Amino acid sequence: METRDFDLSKMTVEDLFRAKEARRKRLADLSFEEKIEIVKQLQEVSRALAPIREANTKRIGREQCETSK
Amino acid sequence: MERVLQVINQMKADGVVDDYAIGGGIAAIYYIEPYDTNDLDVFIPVSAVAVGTAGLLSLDPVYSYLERLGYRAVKEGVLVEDWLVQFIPASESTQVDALDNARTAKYGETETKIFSPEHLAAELLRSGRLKDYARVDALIKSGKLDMNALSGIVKKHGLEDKWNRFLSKLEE
Repeated sequence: METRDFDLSKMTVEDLFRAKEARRKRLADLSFEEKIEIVKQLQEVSRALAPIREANTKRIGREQCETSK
Repeated sequence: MERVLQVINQMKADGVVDDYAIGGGIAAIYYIEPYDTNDLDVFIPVSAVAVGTAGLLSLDPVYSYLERLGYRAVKEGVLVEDWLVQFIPASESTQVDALDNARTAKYGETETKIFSPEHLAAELLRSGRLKDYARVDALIKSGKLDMNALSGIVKKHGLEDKWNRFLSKLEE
């Protein structure tokens, strides 16, 4: 699906799956070097989110403890 | 990453390990779309790390070599140029087979060895975690797998049950 065709009102679930599959294929066809660059960016995002994830895990744990009391 | 591969190649050239091949997440990324992973799994022959008549395994030769180059052990691996490199002695038959049949890949100007997609899929099936199944599914969908070759590897290593479990998980 090309960008100029993007019209949410006309989009079907099949279109979404097709677009997702096309994106997967496009990414899979990148060079090894390009893929590793993306991995490095993902690692940075993951590192930046780590404190938030940790805080959420603790909060959920506390809430579950309190609910089970 | 290129520097990491050069260090591993030099380690092989210096005789610390006879052979190596990249497996795990980075091998998967070589064939399918990239995803977040923070370590590099390097499979090495057990013979490179077997010590004594009892056959106890020690990664000390590998760790000592890398330490001399200034790389320190962190968690379950060694931090080499910002990559956590895990050296895994190939103890399972699928891993040994994958090591023996690894293909050459290039990163920049540096050659490296990497599990074939079929051996990688077999090793993921053997491992059998949900995320491993997702990778096998992605490998199949990528069209980069020779299904006949995978079938042969599955039979060779008695992974038929694991394959059936994978198929039933896909249907869920």
